Amino acid sequence: MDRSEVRRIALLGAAKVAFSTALVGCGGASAATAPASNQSGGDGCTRPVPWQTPPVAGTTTTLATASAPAASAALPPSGICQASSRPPIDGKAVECCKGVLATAFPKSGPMTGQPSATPDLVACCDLALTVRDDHLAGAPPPDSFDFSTTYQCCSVPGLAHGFSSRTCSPWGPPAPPALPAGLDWLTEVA
Amino acid sequence: MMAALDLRELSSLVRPDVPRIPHLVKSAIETWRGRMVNEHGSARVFEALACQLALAGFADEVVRECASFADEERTHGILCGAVVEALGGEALAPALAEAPIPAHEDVSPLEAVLRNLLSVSCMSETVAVSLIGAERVAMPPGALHDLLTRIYADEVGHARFGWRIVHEQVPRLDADAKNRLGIYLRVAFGHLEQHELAHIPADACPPPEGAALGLCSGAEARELFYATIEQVIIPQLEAVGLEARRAFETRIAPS
Repeated sequence: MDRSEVRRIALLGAAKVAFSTALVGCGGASAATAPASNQSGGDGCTRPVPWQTPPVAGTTTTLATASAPAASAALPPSGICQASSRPPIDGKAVECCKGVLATAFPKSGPMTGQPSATPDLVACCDLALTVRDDHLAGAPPPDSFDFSTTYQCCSVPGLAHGFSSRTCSPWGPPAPPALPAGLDWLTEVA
Repeated sequence: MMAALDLRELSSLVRPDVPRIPHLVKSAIETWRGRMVNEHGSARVFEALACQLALAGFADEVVRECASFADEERTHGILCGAVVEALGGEALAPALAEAPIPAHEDVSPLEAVLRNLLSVSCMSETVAVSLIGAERVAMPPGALHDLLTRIYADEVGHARFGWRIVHEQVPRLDADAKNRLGIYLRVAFGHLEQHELAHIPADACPPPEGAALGLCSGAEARELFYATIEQVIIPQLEAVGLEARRAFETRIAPS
């Protein structure tokens, strides 16, 4: 089957999902009742404050609270690690790159963060991916990069490492975004 | 300290037979491990959605249906981990960082849950149906194809669920609410694009035999992603009275 046929069938599947429900919605039974003041518990759900309460600027209340992602910090100067993914792997470069990557991808941050792809970050990510591959091949370095580093690196553009999709997957819906306060049709990117 | 997602025990019980393609094993392990993390981690999204549906006064069976999707996502995580184990890897990885689920307290509970359904079902899961569907079509028959088919069927259900409610509820909203939802779509589209492109590297170009292990071309996946927005998502959102085209053209990535 050629690629255009694969694409056509995939799109048709998505279209069926979205289009067929339109028929259900026409005159079908309503699943919802009036959105009233259903604030009672008993189902294990956390109740937000009443919707009539105006939101406080700069704050967000969530149904499932979690720590906010930390912003990426500044990266060290380019070339600091002399990192190369070509064998033999330099242990000093590995240690240096751990610091670079730890700064670029704070442990408390999201796994999908995408800081600026400086040459040093790209070089260190290539090194991390190579070292992780060696680990999977059965030759783990004494103190390898961790998984989270690998996942963060896979969204960095410009990697020389072949097959950068090996640690990447768009599956699983992420948490929806919040609507920034005051956003309208005319607001531009901050 | 990041929490670990350890599915080794559960996943090892359901290992499928997978094709032996030695030069692609490492790529496949990492790809399926990433899927394991993302799928398992998305369970909490549906749990939060179920709570929002209850708060908005939806019928119990609707709430239960949404809550069941969380179980399905966890099962998908185990199944993806089973592929990792079958390939010789370990179904072990850092758990997904928990991003907040917005409550959208500035609007009614109904409008709030519609915002999240638009993002989760009508966007993310609809794109997933396209991408997984393409992968499934390209994959030869076998145990891995069967596993992918099971996941695909569930994703279809997750997307259809949201579209059904959107088609029922959005046309009944007043003009102001539709306008607010349209503005929300600006952020939702930006967020979708940001998330998907971050997980679909444009330079990923596995050889043709990679299809047997679920490895796909980044460029082709990106093309399919945009085609799904243009040909499926935008037309259907416009059909219920939302300014989806305008929202996509003025999309903004959340900070």
